[in-house]
Amino acid sequence: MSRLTAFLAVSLVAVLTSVAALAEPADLARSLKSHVTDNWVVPDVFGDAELIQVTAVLQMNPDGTLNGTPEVTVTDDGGQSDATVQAYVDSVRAAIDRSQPFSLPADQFDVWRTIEISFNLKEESGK
Amino acid sequence: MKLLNAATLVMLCLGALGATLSPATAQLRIDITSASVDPLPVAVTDLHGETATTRELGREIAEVVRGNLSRTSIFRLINPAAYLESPEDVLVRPNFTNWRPLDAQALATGSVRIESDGQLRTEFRLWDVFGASQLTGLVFRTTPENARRIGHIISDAIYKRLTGEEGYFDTRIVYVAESGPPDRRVKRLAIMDQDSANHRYLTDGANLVLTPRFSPTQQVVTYMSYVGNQPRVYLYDIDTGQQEILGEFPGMTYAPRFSPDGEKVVISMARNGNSDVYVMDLRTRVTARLTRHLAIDTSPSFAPDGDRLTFNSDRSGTQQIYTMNADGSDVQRISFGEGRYATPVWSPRGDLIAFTKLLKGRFYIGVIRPDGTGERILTESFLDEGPTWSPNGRVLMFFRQIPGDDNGRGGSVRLWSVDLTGQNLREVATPIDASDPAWSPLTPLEE
Repeated sequence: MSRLTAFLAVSLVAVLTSVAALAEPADLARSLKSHVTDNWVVPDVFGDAELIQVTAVLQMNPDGTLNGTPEVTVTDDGGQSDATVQAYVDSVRAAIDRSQPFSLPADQFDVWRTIEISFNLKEESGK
Repeated sequence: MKLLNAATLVMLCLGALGATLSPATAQLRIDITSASVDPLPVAVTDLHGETATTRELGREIAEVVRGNLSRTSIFRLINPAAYLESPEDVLVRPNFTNWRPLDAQALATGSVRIESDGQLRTEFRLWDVFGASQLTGLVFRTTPENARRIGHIISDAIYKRLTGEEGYFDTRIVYVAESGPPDRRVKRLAIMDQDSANHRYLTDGANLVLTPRFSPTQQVVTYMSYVGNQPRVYLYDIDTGQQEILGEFPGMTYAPRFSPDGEKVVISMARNGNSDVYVMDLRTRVTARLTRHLAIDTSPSFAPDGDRLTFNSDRSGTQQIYTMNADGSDVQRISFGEGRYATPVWSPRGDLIAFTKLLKGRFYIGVIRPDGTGERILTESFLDEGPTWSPNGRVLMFFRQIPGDDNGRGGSVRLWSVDLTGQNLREVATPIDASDPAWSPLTPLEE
């Protein structure tokens, strides 16, 4: 095996390993997204709330519960009234609380020790 | 090259999911881009009282709140029979672990007591069950007779805190109460709370009344009445019962309606056989003509900013909806669908115009944007007519006639409401037949 071939083989193993490692968080993210979406209940009168964007940073415990209060930040108020933005933030907090405990693989706790979720109703929501 | 593609593919998949791993912080990131549009689950306990009287008042207020919220499509009332805590238990602070299993997103609690001067003191709190925190709180002092109204004000506070929009519960409906056979119909002006309580008649039925409309700024109604054959436009102060004639108008007069500042009335008047839109200043009583066309121009309604009006005209050959500037300039036709359009009413939010549509013998209530796009039909029946907006622009009320049999028996005309979504169609209870409803603004609060 030439040195170049050996290098490529080692690189292949390294990349495939990273592919396997990354594929699982992707599944994790898909499952987490579905879980939180199901628990995010919004009323049918949020007006132009699709213009609002809120980010929540969750510090997690290994058992899937929250470690402390999520840090919720309005990253874009979309020009909506304070009352609408406040109601939107409340619905985000309720979605996070209602999602507990998060069912996440304990052996990947390092991956989800901190979760950042962006909430934005850009897609049509369903009943 | 293939290795690069594999790595790129993985990154693209993660990107498509909206999820990334940040190596620096080992943080999992996701984007939530849709939600479940469902009624918000809410629990409302009876308000706590120490005596039988105050317990009854507390129950009455809570019943008003529960009734209001349950008639919307926004909230889902959790059955009080499922509550694990009593009104007394939640007086200081609820035990939220008893409410989370019920999936209550918000919990309303409170108390009532009669003070030494006979005044009713009501405390109300709204709690975030999952966040275990108070969302809002209110205290009222008033006479016990106002218990129902306190229920409406609390309902509006809950609606606003949980949706971000003003509510519409502390409001009233004025309408035309109808009785008697078709050829001798008695039409009286009547008023009631939006939940049909506190119903009373404002006129005695001696004269025919038509088209009552609320002032957007005061508890004043304008309406038309025929005294003999002479049409008169009246102003009626709901609180004082005082009535004054705005004017006696020659010929046919239709559909007076206030401007958003309550200082003017727009009206359709037929002079020399030609119906046009006019505006009258209520202080000077000076009238200005806004449309000048040989066609029939009727049913004017101001936009909430007062800059434009919508009205009805057959100038294109069929009855259609138009808009124009408040001085009558820049007339634009906005409806182009099949059928005839009537009674356009501009939403208090400004974003839509509600209308009655007649197509192939059926009547419809619908909405359209002021630029003529986005027409949507909300209701359909033998006869649906005369939409009026809730003050927050989320609900429409109208009247629906159900035909009688060949002998004229069994027919009725009643008030109905429907959400802007076209869902939540409900009959609004009235003691007798009812037509031409007009929704009041939110009733002002006294400090």
